[in-house]
Amino acid sequence: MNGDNGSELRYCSPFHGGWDIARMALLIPESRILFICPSSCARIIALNALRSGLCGRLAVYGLSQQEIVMDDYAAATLDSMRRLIAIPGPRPKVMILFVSCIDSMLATDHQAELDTLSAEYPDIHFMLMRMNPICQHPQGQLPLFKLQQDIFGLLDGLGPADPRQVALIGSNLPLSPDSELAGHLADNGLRLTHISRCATYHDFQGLAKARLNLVTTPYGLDAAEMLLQKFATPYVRLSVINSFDAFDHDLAMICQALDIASPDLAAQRQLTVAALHQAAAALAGRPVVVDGSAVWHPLSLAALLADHGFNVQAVYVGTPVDAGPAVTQLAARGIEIIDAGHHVMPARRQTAARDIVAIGQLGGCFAAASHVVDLFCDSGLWGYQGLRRLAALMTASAAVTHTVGDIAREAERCTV
Amino acid sequence: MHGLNMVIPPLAPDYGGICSVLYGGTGMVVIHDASGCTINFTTYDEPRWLDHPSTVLCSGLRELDAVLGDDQRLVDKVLAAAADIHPRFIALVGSSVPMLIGTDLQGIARQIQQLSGIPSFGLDADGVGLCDQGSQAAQQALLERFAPSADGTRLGVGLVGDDALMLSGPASRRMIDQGLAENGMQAVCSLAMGDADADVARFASTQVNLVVTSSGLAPAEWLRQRYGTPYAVGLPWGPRSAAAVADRLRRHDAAIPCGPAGDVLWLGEALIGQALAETLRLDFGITGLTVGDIFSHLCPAACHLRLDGEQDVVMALAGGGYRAVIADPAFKPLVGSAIRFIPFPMVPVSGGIFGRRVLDRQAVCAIAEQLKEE
Repeated sequence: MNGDNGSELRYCSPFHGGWDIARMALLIPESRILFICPSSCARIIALNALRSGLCGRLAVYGLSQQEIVMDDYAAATLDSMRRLIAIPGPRPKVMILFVSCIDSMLATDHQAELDTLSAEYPDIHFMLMRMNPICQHPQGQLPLFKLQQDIFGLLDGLGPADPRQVALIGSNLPLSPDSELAGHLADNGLRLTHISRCATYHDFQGLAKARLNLVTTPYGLDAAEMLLQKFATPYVRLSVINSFDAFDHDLAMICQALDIASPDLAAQRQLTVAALHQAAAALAGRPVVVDGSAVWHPLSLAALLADHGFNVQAVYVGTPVDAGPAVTQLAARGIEIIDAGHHVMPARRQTAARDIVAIGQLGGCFAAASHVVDLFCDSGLWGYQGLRRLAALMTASAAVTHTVGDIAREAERCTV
Repeated sequence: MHGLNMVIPPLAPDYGGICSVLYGGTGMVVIHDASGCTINFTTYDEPRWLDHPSTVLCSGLRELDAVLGDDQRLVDKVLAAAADIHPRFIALVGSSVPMLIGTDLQGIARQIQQLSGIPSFGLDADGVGLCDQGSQAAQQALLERFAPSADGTRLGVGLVGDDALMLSGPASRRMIDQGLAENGMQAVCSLAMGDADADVARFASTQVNLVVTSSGLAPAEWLRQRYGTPYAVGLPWGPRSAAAVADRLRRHDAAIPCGPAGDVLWLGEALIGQALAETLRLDFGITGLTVGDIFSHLCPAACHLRLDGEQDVVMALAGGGYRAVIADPAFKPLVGSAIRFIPFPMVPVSGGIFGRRVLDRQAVCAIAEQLKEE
């Protein structure tokens, strides 16, 4: 989401990779969602679901103004939930009631409805989730942290632990299977699992048996901490920073936690340096911009690319960045950090196409880049292999004209 | 979109219609919300967002401000941004939470105008209403705020109700220009897809106005009362229907061009549906299009079905005996296999995820060909 703590007007862009809070919740296998809110709140949710082929798992009850003002929609909630459960097909294992900002303002309590439904359908787990950006504030738990906690809070931990399983927590996508991390775990007889790879609710429950949890995004931290408390499952937080030393450190920590030998990563590092230099040569000095929708830590990626011969000109970030060493380092290299949400950005956005390679749609759009590498939240890329894949994508992108408009048109090739 | 919808997505909301009308101007539009409403608009409801930046901003409303009724935070944020941007006007647009807590956006706008000297106005929206209501409200607000005194000279056609959201993008304007030009007429200003306050001034001197969609009916009536400017209704979609629209413009005939209903059902905006029916009838000899209005029923004519949400559509399909349905692809799962489905992607329905069907002659030809195949 674009925005900060609400201290200034913000320019919001549409680059969220098609992911929203409900699509993340629908990673729970065999779950269905009822949104009960002013219909507008769920428009983006329903359209993202339609685009992702999830529409049969989501319904929207659009509240009238009277229902909102009178706080009178308990009966509608019950009726809509029953109808959503009755949709032909496999019976859901989890039913999620999603409410929006207005429920936070009304301080509604849906426990009575959930209790009624639980009594009627004892084989289904009912839960409440909130999509309430109005409640985010710097001192509180951010909605996406809470969401991950809610999702993994469903794990019951029944059955014996699986000493061969390592689980990823907090990301929408699994890590690329050819990453050095996945490879090294496989070499040691370990399996890397992720919620998106769970076909059934039973498979999902299997995540509780993991020997170690790897937290791949900051959003997963509270969930991992909860699993540590609940099942004594340790976790390692992976760096989102793009630096060779950070990758080495992360792998060493993981190996230590799993009591396996650390791999020798010197060859990986060498290969990656060569791949980056090769891609930089292919770009031949063409300007590069990086953005915060594409990767978790755009500042470190920009610095790393600049160190390996790329002509990085700017980093577009969705929220204001505080001064710090990373900012100072980029400034010393002449790399501009641009707050894409600042209110002057509509006037600052470029519109005439420029021969620039952009990593991410946000920077691609705002810089009017002719070459866009379409990444969102790292897109499952991590470590040395992730950087080599990125270098290949940049080289490929530079060879053809591929704008954000082209990406949008490709996304519109949705059929029913 | 009141009630349960299991298949069709919520339609574009009122604040989307407001922002669409104001998007072309050099004002500063502020949606008073936490962020979700603004992202709805930028992601799915503004076909121009990628190519044509405009200053539509999010107020970043937070729980504490709402609970305490701290409107001063909004005033301060708007003044700070306005000092950098120097907009020609400022519009504050409501959403669900401001509606719930009774935020007085007009009053806040008056305060902002006093402090900044920039013309400012507030527009209530609640995220419950639909985009055509918002579009109508924004057009009315522009007129009430910026319409000048009557001008002696009378030139050209003014377009009302022609917002880019309902017309699925600015490219549909080319069809209107072409149809008018073929009949010796020219559109000189646009209330819903123009340069907002600047275009409004030109409405003081239009010879006649053309209502393109239902959201333009009330503004056209307002213009008739204010300037005595007559209006007609229609879309010059095909050569013959363009001639018919031109004829109504010359005769100052404000009647809704209702045709006979039949066994083909249109699910969409009422006046676009009536224009399609007229074009199919006059240009292709196809009669019998029943117009189903899935929006806010702003058009008072009794010649179309008023459908509110998914259940109404299901019932209409079950009992209508239709041989074909023309609708956004999002409706397809509701249409049985015995009925021919003719996809017509509409931004206010599916937000562009199935593409954007520009209203042009190619589009109407494609529909006619499919209907003739039956």
